Amino acid sequence: MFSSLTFALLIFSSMSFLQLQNVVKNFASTRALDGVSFEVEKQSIFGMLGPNGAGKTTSIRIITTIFKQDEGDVFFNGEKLRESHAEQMGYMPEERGLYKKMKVWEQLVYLAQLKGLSHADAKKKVFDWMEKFEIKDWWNKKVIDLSKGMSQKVQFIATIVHDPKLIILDEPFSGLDPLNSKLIEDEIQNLRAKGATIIFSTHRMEQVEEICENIILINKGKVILNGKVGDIKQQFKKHEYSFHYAGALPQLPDRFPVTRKLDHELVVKVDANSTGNDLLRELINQRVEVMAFNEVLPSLNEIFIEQVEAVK
Amino acid sequence: MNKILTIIRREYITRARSRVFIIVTFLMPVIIAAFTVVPFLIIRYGSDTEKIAVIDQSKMFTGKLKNQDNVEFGFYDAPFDSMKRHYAEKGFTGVLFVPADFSPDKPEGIKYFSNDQLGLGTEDNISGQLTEVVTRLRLEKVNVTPEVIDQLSKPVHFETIVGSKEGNTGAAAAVGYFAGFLLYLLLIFYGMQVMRGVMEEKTNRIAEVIVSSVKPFQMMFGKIIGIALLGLTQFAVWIIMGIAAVTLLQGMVGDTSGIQDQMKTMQEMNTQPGMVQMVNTLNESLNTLPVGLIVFGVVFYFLFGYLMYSSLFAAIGAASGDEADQSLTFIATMPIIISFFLSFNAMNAPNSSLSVFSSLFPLTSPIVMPARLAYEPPPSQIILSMIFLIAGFLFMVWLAGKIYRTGILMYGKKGSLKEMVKWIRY
Repeated sequence: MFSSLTFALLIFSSMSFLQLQNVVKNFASTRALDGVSFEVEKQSIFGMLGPNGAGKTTSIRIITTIFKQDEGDVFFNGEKLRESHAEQMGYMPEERGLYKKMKVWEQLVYLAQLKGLSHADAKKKVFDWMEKFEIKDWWNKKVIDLSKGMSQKVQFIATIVHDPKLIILDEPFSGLDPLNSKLIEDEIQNLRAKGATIIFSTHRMEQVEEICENIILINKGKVILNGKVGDIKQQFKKHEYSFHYAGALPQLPDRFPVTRKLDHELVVKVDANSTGNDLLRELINQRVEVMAFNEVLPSLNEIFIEQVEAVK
Repeated sequence: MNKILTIIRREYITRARSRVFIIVTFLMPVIIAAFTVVPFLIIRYGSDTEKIAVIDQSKMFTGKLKNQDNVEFGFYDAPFDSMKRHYAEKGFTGVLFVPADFSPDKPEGIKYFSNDQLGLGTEDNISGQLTEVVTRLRLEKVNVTPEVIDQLSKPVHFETIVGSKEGNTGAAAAVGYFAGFLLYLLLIFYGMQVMRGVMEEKTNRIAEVIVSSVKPFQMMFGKIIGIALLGLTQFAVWIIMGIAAVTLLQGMVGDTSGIQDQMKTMQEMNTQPGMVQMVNTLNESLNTLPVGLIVFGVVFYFLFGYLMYSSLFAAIGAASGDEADQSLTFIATMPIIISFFLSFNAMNAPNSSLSVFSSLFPLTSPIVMPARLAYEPPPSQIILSMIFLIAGFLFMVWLAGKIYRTGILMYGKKGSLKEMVKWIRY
């Protein structure tokens, strides 16, 4: 049944929890996904980046079995993706809401039941989670009476109440104040420690850099970047170094052009033949009092913009 | 399967415990009963008896004016003018004066006097009776005796035989109308509930989360069944309340001749004659109609008609934006309204080709065929109609499912018809 290539890939990626291979999805005449392939390692936090309309949501909907791909394969925990796998996933979409007239506990139990839990199990788990998040007081409250931040918390619980193995969060922090954002961030780490694999889709690059280990950048239905955050930054580095100094402005030779001048800080380009140490040696020779020295790696934000602009 | 049951349960319970539902379920029959029973009661017990003093100088009416319908006549031998002043002291509400020179050939000069305006009912009563007396006098003049008159004015009835049974057109019409109307109301009412329920998931933005746990089809179906159960619950409550009301009505009504008079007066006064007449006709003629067939028919056509139409309503809800759209809703309500009008045609000409066609065509048959059932159409047509309806329902569910699964995730803007067609092909 399996082609030898697929078989080999499967062996290689025994650590991968989720795999997309050459997934294609068309909507009438629009090609939303054009041969998308990527892997998500088990118990990792994976970032999905891309401009609006890139294909992130479509990919997510294929993973969560909302849509079926037209071509290509998806593997979930080593098996070919089936609809029943959705019970092991928790999904918090970007546009999200709750039934306004239901009570909080009823809503959460209902959603948990739809994920396959029995009424009794669901009720217990909902109770435990509400206790953990310190929102037990909202048990009987109607959703319509909750503030935005409060309902976001409830939505988050709805996403994880059934202990899913794969958690997909699309812009989870939008509308949350810093306190609640931290709460959710911490919880994500906890869940990961307990064995969950997490996929993040967001525009907030600072968060991706902080939290994610591997990322992909999708644009116009294709994967443009794929790999570890550190590796990607290395890939796009401009060979720049920045240093803070005290005293007078140092005068550097031509082979160390200054790209940016800030208050007692310079960003210098080092050519391919030289290393950071060469620059540092030059500074020491000039008796510059160096307060700090580091390689400048591009932010994901910069890489993102550059890559997306390039395809236009 | 379990998940569909969970969905059905939620759809049912959240609506069943809403205040609106409870009020409508228990209040509606009370309102309907009020509209039928109360006018009836008002007429019977509401008006005071009118006592009319009759000064009949012609002696043609003496003893011939009957006391009926809250109007009593007392014959007096006194001058008109004096009676005009004293009628109230004597306990009368008005004076009727017939001059001595009154003649059937020239029926002029009769006057009614009172300080209070004469009511319509009383006026009709007096006028009717006066006319009747005068007519008889005229006929007697040409040697037509009262007995001959009675003979001549006997209406001609004819026995209707349908197949091997006695027919009853009045009853069939009543039942047909009732069945058609009921189905028309139910299809629109519950269909709209389904549509609004689907739109709720869109406006609340919860659709995507649900669809990541269950198939869109399960969601759609669970909602349709949940609301159907709601309808059946209401139905059951209304039937129980209806039986109680009819029993109450029968208790109050007494003998049937009383009803005929009441109905005549009611019709003249333009209150709700139809309902009382229909209840009465129902009572009288149930044993001449194929009751079993009609009940089965109504249930079958409601069931499959509802399933078919509510799928359509679900698709429309899925294609709507955040606000209900009239033009989209019209796609579903228009065939229902047209069916209702066609059902009249079916009652008028039950075997015309238009009637036959509209009772076979799945979009119109849920309303037209039940209306036609009282006229006992050929069994082959009934069976064919049922098969077509089931096929129509299956097709509609498939079609609606495709529109629903895509539309449900489109938030904000409404889908145009062109887009809906695209979604079918996804």
